[in-house]
Amino acid sequence: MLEIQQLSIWIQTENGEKQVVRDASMMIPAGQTVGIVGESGSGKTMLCHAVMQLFRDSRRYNGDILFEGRSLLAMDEQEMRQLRGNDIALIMQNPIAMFNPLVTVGDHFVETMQAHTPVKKQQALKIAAQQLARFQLPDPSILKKYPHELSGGMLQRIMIALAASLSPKLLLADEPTTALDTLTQLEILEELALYQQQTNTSMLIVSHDLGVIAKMADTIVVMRRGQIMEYGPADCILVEPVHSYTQALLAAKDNKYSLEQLVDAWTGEVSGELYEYRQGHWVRQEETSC
Amino acid sequence: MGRFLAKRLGSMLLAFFGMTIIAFGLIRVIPVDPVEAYFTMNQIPISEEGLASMREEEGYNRPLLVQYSTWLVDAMTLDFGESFVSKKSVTAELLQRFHVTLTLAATAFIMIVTVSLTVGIWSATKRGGFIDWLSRSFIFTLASMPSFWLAFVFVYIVALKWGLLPLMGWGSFAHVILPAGTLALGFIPYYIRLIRSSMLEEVNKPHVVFARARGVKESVIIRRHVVKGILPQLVTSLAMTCGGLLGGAAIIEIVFTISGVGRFVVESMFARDYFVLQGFIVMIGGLYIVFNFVADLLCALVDPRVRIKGDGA
Amino acid sequence: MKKKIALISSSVLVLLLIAMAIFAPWLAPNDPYATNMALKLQGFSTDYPLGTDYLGRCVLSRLLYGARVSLFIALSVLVVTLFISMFVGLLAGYVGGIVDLVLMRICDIFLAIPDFVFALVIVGALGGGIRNMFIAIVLVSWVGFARIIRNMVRSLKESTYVQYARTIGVPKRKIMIRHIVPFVFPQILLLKLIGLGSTILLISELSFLGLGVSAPMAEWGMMISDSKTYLMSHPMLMFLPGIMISFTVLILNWFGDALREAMDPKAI
Repeated sequence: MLEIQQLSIWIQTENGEKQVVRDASMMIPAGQTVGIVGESGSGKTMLCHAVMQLFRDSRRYNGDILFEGRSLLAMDEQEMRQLRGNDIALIMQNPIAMFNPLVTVGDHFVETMQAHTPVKKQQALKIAAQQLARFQLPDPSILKKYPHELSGGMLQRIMIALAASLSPKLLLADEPTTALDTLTQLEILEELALYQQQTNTSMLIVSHDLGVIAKMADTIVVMRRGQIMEYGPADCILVEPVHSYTQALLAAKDNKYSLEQLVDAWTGEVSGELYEYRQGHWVRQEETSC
Repeated sequence: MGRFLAKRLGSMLLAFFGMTIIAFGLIRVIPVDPVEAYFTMNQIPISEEGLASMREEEGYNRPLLVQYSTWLVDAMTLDFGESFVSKKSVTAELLQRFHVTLTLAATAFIMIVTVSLTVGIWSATKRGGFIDWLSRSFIFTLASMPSFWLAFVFVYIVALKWGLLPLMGWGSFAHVILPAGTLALGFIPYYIRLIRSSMLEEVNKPHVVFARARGVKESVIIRRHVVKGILPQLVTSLAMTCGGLLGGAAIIEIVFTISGVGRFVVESMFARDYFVLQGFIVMIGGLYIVFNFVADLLCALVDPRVRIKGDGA
Repeated sequence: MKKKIALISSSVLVLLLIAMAIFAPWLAPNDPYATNMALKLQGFSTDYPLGTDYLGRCVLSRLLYGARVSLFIALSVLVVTLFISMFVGLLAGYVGGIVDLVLMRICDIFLAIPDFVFALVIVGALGGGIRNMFIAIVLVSWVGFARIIRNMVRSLKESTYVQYARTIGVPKRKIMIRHIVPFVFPQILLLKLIGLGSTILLISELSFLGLGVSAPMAEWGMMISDSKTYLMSHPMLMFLPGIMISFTVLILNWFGDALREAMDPKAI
């Protein structure tokens, strides 16, 4: 479905270019869920943006991203726009900032659908109401509401419903549960998992929380400072992590508060080459200090 | 929404009363005694008794507060007294010329809105290119030129050299174009820069990125998300400009010898016809309330947060 | 790098402008006030490089002297309003309460009247002349800045280091001088410098109307006003002072922009 080949990303800053992702390769097979875990600044959000080809003007890419065999990097803006939201949908973190405060929830649905299909406004609103009901928001009056009248959890559900409304082939979820309370987090994850089962959509989930990834992913990618540290089937990585960074992450999995600190505390160098530890399970070689 | 508008209206009324105090106080700070000025103006020989009886008659001997309140009551019924010069009521004199200035200001206003929105949006979307740089430099240069001078340059080129538009005076629509255009030019650079910079700020907001990630067409993004987002700020600034246009019209009316309110006020000022000035300040103050109230109403219509919370975000 | 070049070149231009104003008496080829009716409305010549006006005065000399008037008034306005705005802004922002309320309502009144109208009314009331024009421009210019300073002080007051200084008992006056003024001052100075161009424009507008400087003095706005009648026959008399104003304002605006870019990339 989606294949990322030796992708490197540079962003343009005031002080020249800065590399944020280095030689990352991964595959998302059809109907499968891949989870990327890593601390903030590890380049995981950049990967999501790269797949959507957002911020084309200010980023430079090397390598390639293939979606159903077509290179996304080679597509022009018009083709890319048709793909966004329609074939590949994105759920972003911080839902409160993602909705235009001056536009109703319903109009967000209408404009998204009308961007890809010749649907009438009334029809689009009807579909929107059905989508919302599917994600535990059965009250159609929500469509007339403005974003500031709704809670973060509701907006996150609406965002998922919005992404699902055009039945995309690939769903990218960038920190879908960050900034929500624990109970809502769980509910949203369950709904996402249920949606994935029902529709067999391919998914890429990005989170700093290994707990989230463990719950959802078939395959796990561990990233740090723009590089992949370990990449393999969830069963293997969760049971028997090879890289010391993954081990540290896993040890802290159930203790949410210490996670960020632990990630920061892990001072190991990011170096060495990726090698195939087992069939389909890649690990970055650690330089031994002795 | 009601609370928000009431609160805004309250502070506007307060400012308005402040302006009436300035208008009233004006006649007290001038180095010339208004009664004496009246006598000289009408070539009545000045005698102590004459002055005293006039002061008594006009109430200049009463306490200031009493004078102010009687003046204010008169002012609220649009009675500002008679012009020293023409002997006609100040209100009638102002109203008689008001439509001319209004036509001028309204035409300029329409020009400002259309030109700045077109150029501003266009330059924000084409940012970084040579055309953007060129238009920005042009606007920057334009902003440095005094509008009255530009008016003469236009008169010289368009009217004198090319004979395209009527030189001066008033009457047909062709007479309005040049003065209104010059008046608008004084404000257009500011608005183009305002629109451009606030749009560039808006474009980077997360919800615009999200709209792009949903595949929404660029034209829809600009119209619905970016332009709509800058509207409240734009409308508020435009309300302030309305007052500025009426004031700035004075200089343009003088250049083009149009008999509007502005030119009349400047002429009255030279003639020390202070009641006209007082009437003019109160008029500007009243219009200030109208413009700002309309702007607040529009903001509340665009931004639902203002409607509900009673406070702009 | 680009920013540095802009700042350096615009500063050089500003210095040239100031030098032109200061050294006008040495640069001017003729006495700017000497009238010579026999040589009125002359074209360009070696004696009068830019010709003569309707009273036979040297245009170039008058243009050079005009720079003195505009720059001198604009700079004095800057200094005086800087102090008034700082005083009102600090008072309203730091004392707060009823003082803040009253001062800000007064600001509201001043802001409600369009600048040009206000200046017109004041000069009208007090009469023309440099001094009254100066008072008028000061009165319209201090308000906006006072409000900006007040808002800055209010947010600074909430900042942790000021809060800390208060808890450990640093006296108010010391907090003001040590922590608030040094932060607010450079930013306001910057804003004032950016506003220099528009002050020059206001000066020229008032002088054009005959409300500014009085007759023989050389001032650009008044030179334009004087040349009204000769627009048809001698357009240069009108073009030249306008070009001088435009250039001066352009240089000052450019300098202000470059300074802002260099000082604070966030933009104020």
